[in-house]
Amino acid sequence: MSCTQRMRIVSAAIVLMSTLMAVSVSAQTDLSGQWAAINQSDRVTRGAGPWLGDYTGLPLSAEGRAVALSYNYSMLSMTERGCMDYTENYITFAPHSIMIERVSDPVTGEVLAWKISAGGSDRAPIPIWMDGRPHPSENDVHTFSGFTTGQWEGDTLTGHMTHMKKGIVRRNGVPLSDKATMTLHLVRHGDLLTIMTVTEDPIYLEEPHVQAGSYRLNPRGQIPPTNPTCFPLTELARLDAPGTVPHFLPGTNPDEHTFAKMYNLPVEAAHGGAQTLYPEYRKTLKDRYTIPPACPRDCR
Amino acid sequence: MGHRPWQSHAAVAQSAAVLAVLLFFQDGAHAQGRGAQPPATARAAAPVDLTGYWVAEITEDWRWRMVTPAKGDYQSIPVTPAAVKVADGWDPAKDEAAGEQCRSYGAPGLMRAPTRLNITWEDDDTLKIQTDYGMQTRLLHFGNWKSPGAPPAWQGDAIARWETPPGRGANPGARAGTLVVATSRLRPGYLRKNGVPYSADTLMTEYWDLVGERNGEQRILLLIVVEDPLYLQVPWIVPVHFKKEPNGAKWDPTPCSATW
Repeated sequence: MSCTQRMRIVSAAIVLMSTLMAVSVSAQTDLSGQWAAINQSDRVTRGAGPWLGDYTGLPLSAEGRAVALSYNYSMLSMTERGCMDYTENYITFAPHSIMIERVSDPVTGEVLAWKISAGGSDRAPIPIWMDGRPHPSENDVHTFSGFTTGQWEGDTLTGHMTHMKKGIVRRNGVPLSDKATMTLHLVRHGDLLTIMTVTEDPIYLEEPHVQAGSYRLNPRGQIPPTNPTCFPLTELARLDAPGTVPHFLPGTNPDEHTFAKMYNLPVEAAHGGAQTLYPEYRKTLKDRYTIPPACPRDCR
Repeated sequence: MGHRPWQSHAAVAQSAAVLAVLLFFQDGAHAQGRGAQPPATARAAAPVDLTGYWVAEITEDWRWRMVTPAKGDYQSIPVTPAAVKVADGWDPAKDEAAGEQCRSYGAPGLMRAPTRLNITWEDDDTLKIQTDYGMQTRLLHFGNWKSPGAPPAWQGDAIARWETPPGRGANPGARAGTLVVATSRLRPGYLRKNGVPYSADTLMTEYWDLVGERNGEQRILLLIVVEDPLYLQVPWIVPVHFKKEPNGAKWDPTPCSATW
């Protein structure tokens, strides 16, 4: 075989390999980039924060509701609870923009993981491992990143997260246990990205909690690829004696009814539960709800 | 050990052959689309099956979707001053009296409503979405459908197409594809039950994706983009989700209401 023939074969092989790789890559969506949060639903709940006693839209179990009603914001003054708001599922209800990175194998170039980082929120990045690695033992350490493996289903990246830390489902003390798992669906359409999460918690939720948020590609975004994980430190002055966990005993939470009264809602509707999420629940509400005479607060 | 040129040549040739075969199979999905005739109808080309009964899961904006909020409550919607002026004049009794009780049931408001959907094929190129909430019907037209030029309606003119990832062809089992819908010629109505308006110049774009869960549940993840040069400062972009139901046992048609 002549040198020319040899070169032709090598060239053909390179072309074929390149074509193959191009086909393979085109079968996935590039999620990498800076993504600006679009907070056009639940804006105040995501941003400034929810009202105490507002558990609407959450499939809370009785246990979850009881723990939520025992919540006292002063809990955050405790070193060991200072990071409870920043667990992995915070991505589902946080107002923050995110950065998504493609983590490539340095040798093969294949995608090892998609890593989601959120700036300004003390949150650890969430890697979604794509290389088929197994989940750790259920007794393994639970971290602020959780452990997530993913796969493409069409153009949707679906991840399954385990090893979540005990945290919250809403920033007014609605709890999430460390038995929780979460499925993430990431769908990109042009410069819009939607993340839908399905959170399952056998202790505090009656059924999977589904929530979605959208983002717009932002080439000028400045979200860093890594974030300092939440530091356990005292953020608030202690409001009571050291050595106690700030809380409300059952029936003593002064804000148990505040939100419901403000918006003319039956208390049990304001306190969530799976049955409150579906259209038929409106029959329960119909004779017990009147439109408030004016918007009381946070109207714009 | 000495180098044997023929071994290198053979290895390269063998690699090239293997790659060629791989490429042939890899490109199979493309070939189906290029060599074979494309599906003649939208129904035949559907990469995902959206038909069936679906129920809205109201987990976002519950207070604005499950009940009618107070006048003046525009939270989360990027309204213009013109929109505020209109919404501040919201009078549901007046709407009822004028026969305008369906104003919040036009497509931009309807898809966030507490409703069930029944999705069927009206014909090979028209997907039909019915809601029990307000008993509305949306017709999504594929192909070269032309608007008949009728007056603007609550559900407008909806043009649909399938968006299929390259290389995968039409495979209903692969959950690989998006229904993209553009709706215009809308009769002016409300984005929210309490009179937040959208105008006749509104364009609504929807992206319908089907996702599967580990427990076998199926969901539609619907991204809605509403653009209105008159009443929205920027596009209103909101995702919603519907869970598949086994049948229509919970289907509960209720007429339009301006207040409830």
